[in-house]
Amino acid sequence: MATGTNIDVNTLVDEHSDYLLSFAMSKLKDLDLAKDLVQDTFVSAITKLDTFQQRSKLRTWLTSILNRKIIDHWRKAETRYTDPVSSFFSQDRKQGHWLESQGNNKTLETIEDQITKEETNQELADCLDKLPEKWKGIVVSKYLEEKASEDICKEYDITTSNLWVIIHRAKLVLRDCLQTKWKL
Amino acid sequence: MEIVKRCEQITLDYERSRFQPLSVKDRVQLRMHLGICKKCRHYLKDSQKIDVWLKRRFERLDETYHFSSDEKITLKKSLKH
Repeated sequence: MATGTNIDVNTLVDEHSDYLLSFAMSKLKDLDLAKDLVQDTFVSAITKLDTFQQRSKLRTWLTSILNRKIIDHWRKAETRYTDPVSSFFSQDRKQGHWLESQGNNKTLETIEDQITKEETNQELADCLDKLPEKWKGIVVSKYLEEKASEDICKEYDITTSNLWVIIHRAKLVLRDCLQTKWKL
Repeated sequence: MEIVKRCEQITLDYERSRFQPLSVKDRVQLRMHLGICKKCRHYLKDSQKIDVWLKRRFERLDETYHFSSDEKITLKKSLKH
């Protein structure tokens, strides 16, 4: 492992470990698991350092390795247990339930002026944690990584109509959560 | 195919329309439904607001999580083997 010199390892960890951990935690809920996956990412990166092409940024390359590890983790979890997406779907939302509760609620934009950006971000982060983990990952792929729908579907092994339904349901969950937090 | 769609289907159609163009029929149904349904108009407004907030939140990734310095030392050691 000639490439894995001490200097490389130290710089890798010092410069990128917190970023990678934060990226992993944007998609996962379990901090210990996230730390393990970051460590695995470094191990893979060091053994594959010769395949790294200088054209892309090192951080981008590391993030893509980490992202594959996260997806592999979900795939394994799904074959071991039940599919978290389909089991959430089968929970049978009561038809029309979400609308009936909407009677006198104010729209979210009415509170925007009273709430600071930081507050909104914090509340939003809390509410994102209410989503099933895989949905959280999909939301992050869409809004942070700005991936195209086809890429998201391929990565998460879902159909495009699944994707619309997940985005729709995720927004309903987020909206419910934000309304409760701000007592709308 | 039902003539009057439920609100849940209408709002789903709306989310789908953000990814791909709707058929003429779906588009007309969506527009007519929105004309008479306050709750779905409310949903649309909230959905757009959530979009804006999510985009703003994820403009960049904040480093909010950190390995402790001890963990970093252990991590470096394990990678040098």
